[in-house]
Amino acid sequence: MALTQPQPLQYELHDPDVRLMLQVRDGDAAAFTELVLRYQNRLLTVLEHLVGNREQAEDLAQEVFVRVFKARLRYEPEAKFSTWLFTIANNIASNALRSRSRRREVGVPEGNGADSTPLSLDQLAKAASGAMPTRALDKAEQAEMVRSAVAALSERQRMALLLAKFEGMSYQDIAQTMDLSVQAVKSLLSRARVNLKEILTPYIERGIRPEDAEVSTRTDD
Amino acid sequence: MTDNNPLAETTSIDEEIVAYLDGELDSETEARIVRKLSDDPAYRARLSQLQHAWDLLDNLRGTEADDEFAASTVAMVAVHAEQESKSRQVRVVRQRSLTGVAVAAAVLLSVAAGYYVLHRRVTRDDRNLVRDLPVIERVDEYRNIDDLSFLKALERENLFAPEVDDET
Repeated sequence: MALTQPQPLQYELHDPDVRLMLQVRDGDAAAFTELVLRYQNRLLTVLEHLVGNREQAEDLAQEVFVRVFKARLRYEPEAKFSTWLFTIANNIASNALRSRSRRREVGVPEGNGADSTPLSLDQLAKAASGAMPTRALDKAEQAEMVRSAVAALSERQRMALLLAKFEGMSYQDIAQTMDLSVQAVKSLLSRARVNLKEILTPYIERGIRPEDAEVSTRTDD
Repeated sequence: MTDNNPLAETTSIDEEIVAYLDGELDSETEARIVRKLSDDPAYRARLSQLQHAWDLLDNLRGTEADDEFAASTVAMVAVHAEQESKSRQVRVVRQRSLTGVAVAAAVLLSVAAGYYVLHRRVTRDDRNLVRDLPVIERVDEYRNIDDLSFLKALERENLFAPEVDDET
């Protein structure tokens, strides 16, 4: 599969958001507001599912936009704008998750993310134990089950999965965003899907809460 | 390569299936997968499971920013821009001050150096004049004498001594 690397001028010609960003670089404040409006939901969606917390996702999204603004004078269109933006988001979210896990290591209690704190795999297994009455999951429970399954993936699998699912990014774009090779992205997405399948198999097969949640996620990324 | 390692083989098959589902394969590999799908029920079942797991992600809701989000983000950036502008102004003022001080120092240094050089030159010239004064005073007389050895002979006989003493 021969890929031709697009030139900066091509990005400028074909990506309206790149043109907006160039206007921001030239000092156009309205162009920046337009970019925020265009990307706020997309960014929040990916970040919320990545960090599992709405409030933190909002903080991180704002940090991403501030970083975009700070970088405006150095901006050169070397990728699609969305790829550039999500590269920044990936870096910021990775740092946040790293420092969160460090806080957890030293025993600082984690702030509860209101309605969006994911269940751990243990909790999932407990919830899926035979003690619970077998019944069909309602829509909200189904969403919660999937969200918990996604939260159980490794950070990189999760990011790759979210970029593919919500942003519809190609392997090439995900690779650029996450600073990986295309082959690494291919492996990452494959493992993510297999892990998801294993976590959700009881639900997939029976349409009910899994009775035996023997989940062994392969986090070999 | 994968024949001896069932896990590696499974991984490779999964990667192939997922890349197929994501539309990331070249046409030749895609055609091979399609053939395999029609021939191999286990392969078909694996694809179906992976596809189903992926489809379940549709249950994940997208996040809608509230009305305040864009406004507060832009306000935050505006504050940042203001700080940036202030610190740039401070930098410019500091740079200008530094430039002024540097220019003043350079001028002072040049003046001092010029004065020193001039002073040195004038002093040296004056010293030379003082040293040569006895000769200068008698330059007309010396012009009449062609031979330096004659003058040295006169000096040896101490003929000039009283005249010099008179002057001092």
